Amino acid sequence: MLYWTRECPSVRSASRVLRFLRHEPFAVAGGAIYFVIVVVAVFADELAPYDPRAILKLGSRIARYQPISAQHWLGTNSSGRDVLSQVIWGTRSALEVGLTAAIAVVAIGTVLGLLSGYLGGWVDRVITWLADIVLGLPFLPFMLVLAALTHPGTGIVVFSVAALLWPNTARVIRAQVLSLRERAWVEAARVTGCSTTRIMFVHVLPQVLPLAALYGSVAIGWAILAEASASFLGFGDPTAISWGVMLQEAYANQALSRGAWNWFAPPGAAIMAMVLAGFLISRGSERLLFPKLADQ
Amino acid sequence: MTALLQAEGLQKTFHSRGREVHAVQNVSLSVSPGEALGIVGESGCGKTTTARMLLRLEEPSAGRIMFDGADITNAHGRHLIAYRARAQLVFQNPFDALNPRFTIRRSLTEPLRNFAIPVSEHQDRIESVMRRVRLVPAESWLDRRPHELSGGQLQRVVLARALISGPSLIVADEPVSMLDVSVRAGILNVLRDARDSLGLAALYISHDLALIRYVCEQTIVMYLGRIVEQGPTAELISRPAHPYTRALVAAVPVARVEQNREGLPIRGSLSDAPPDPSGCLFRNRCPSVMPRCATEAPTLRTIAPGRMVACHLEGAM
Amino acid sequence: MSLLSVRDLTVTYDTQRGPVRAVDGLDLDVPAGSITGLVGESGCGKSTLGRALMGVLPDRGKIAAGEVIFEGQDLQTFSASARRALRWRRMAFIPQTAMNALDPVQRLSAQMAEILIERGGLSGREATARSSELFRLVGLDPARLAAYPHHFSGGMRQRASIALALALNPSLVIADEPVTALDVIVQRQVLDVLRELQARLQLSMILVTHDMAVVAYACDRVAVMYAGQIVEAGLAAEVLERPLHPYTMGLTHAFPDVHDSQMSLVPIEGSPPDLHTPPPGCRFAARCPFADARCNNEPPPSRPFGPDHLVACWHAEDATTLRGRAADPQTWAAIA
Repeated sequence: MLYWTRECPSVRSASRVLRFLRHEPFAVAGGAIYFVIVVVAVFADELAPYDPRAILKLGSRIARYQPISAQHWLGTNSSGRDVLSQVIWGTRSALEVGLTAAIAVVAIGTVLGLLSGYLGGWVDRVITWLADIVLGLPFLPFMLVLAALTHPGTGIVVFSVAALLWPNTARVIRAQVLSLRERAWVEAARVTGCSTTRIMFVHVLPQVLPLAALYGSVAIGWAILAEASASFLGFGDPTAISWGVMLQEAYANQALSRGAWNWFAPPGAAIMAMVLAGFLISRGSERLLFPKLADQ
Repeated sequence: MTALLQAEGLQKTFHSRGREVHAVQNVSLSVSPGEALGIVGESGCGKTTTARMLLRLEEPSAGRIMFDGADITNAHGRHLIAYRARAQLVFQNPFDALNPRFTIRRSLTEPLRNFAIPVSEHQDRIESVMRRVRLVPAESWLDRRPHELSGGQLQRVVLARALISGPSLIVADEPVSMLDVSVRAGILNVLRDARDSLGLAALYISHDLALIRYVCEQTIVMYLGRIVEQGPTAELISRPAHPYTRALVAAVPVARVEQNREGLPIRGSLSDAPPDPSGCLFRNRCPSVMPRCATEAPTLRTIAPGRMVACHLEGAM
Repeated sequence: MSLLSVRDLTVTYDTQRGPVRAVDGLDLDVPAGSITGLVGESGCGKSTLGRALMGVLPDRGKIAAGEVIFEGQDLQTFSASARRALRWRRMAFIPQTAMNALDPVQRLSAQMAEILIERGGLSGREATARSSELFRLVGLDPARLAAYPHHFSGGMRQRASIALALALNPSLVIADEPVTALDVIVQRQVLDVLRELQARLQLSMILVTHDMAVVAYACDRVAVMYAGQIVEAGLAAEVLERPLHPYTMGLTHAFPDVHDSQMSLVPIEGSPPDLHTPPPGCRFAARCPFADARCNNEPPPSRPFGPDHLVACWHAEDATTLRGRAADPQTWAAIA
């Protein structure tokens, strides 16, 4: 029938993004979770009531399996360490792993997507082919084999996430670049003497960065989940204080059958919150980045 | 006067789904300094592809492009940059022609940087080009971004960007078709003034003969990738030789109530191109078609000094 | 007796910066059996007016005041469903891009049938016959009814959307820039189709356009719109030959003429006022070379001037001298 063309919002200015966020409870909730986690990580020293590694004593005995109390808001674990302090300190390693992996994913994915979309031809074919192969690799086995062949540790986790997650970013960036390439101002850059490299990195790249950042937020959650899985399976860094290591220790000490949920539930919830935040942000920004998609 | 830009036998063939599409066939033209040439025709006639080849934004399948005595058909690297500094383009859609994230100043500095113009000259050049496109005082415009400007103002910035490197040739592809009527004249006047005072060669691409008449002394009419007629604009309009030109002239509406409202001397639509390209491509729509038109493709022949037409009709004048 | 009569119509939009009156106290009469050109530059409210008349304003827009009398009935008193029933049957719309009127994934025959059967209550067989008739009417081969819109060229699509608009014999057709996106030969052919149909079916038509030449070619009457108001209206011959409003004068000099080597075109310098804060006087005053103190302070009322000619300008009495001065580019350059 009658279709009145509707104006589409586009990513224009920061104020517009902010205004949009106000109407996007999903994205705001995700952002709030990230904000809390960052604050906790920065002020971990001040916030944690105990040294997370300190073995606490109760009189002369080690304070094992303390229930929730005013001294220990989340109790203690089997080696007499304060669970709350560990969860708080865990935010640091979570962010470390999450951010490094996310930056690596975004960097690789964006650059390859940019090259593939803008240059086309054989570059595009090679990168697409590579992405297809990588997408076919199963994540956990890949990481475990890698860890088994080298030193287990967070380095492997970050590397695996970066190596296996870039194709998702590369694909959307490529699609975006393909449409940007047809814009008159990109052609104008050619006419006014820009080199191909300059067009790609000075003119086109800033346009796709918001989209790349969005995929980065998903990668943070993924990386933390990967780190937790690796640690849980014993391929992480055993000396680190991380939510994954906490879960692994809880599992190894049969915390579940002891009913010591105060030991494993908090790190589990923290991991979930982190992954959820990434999802919420990506879900919330979808309408901002793909207005047409959200209309349907 | 010797030609600044000269193209000989330009061809562009696209391959789509195993078929060859001849977007441009055997187009030759030349533009001298201070002269304005118009290419007119309907969408799909190859006028934009021709312009893009001349600017080396599209690679010709065959043919040769000479600029200021040098063959630039295959120029690349340093030579291509040098050509770009002297041959600039004015875009059709001013709302899309400027990087939305760049300030006006940055958009104008971009060509200066790329064409290695000394930084000490930048400010002077920016100010003088902003004066030329009548965006004054320059300082009140330079730190804005495209979304803060109206269509007419944006097109002036696009003009300024094209002029800032001091080019000898300006190509304008439908420079006012996206603009409001009240500002069109302003843009055309700036273009005309720039050509007159800087002695530029200009190439206008448009579907609008009235606009071409206003800015160009010479005109080329294209139909389905071929030149069908060329000559001085005023003569070509008052006495069109090719049946297609005749229809084109008759179709242009004029802002007078008294005007010719008879049916156009043309049949069918653009999609009625003959499947067999051996003869004249206009024959299926031509009111004066002859048997010869189906077998023999007419070549451009001179019918009067400076006037050429590709038609078998004897009394084409 | 007018087919459509608009009185003091005001349409407001809610925007970030508060409500804006896109159409402000507008009067317009469309006599039966005529083509009225509605001219103005973008943002002057001509598309908003078209939408308001069709009753299809976007959510953030609403008719704040005034009345729209169509075939003797005030449309403001109609319920939404009565209003919907009127569309297609009594008034129809042709958008600028035919793709906005046509469904890309349905054959044209199906789209025709949908309107004819569901809106018009025809039987399947009647609908088929009527579809063929409509296609012939707009100069399309009825065999092409089986095609999808993307099989058509731009001109053919525009013809199809005209056929669709005429399906249920409306008495008023509103066409929003129907030929702007088309090539000049196709544009002429589509205008000829509209003119022929108007004459044959005794339709009334509002042709929204920015192009004075299109008005001159196809319209009997013209209304010139500026900043949400009609500044001049009347018979096309009268308004084009003897414009009374400086804006109309400016528009007639803003186009190149294909048959005339004009010395110089005259741009209208400046830009339309921000309708959030419209000026107190004449809205064109800031761009008008003839404006004086009264123009800046008092809005000029619309008044009749000669037979069937309305103008809203304090200086309409001096129009003859002003026309001469308006032809000189220097007159307008002073504004910039």
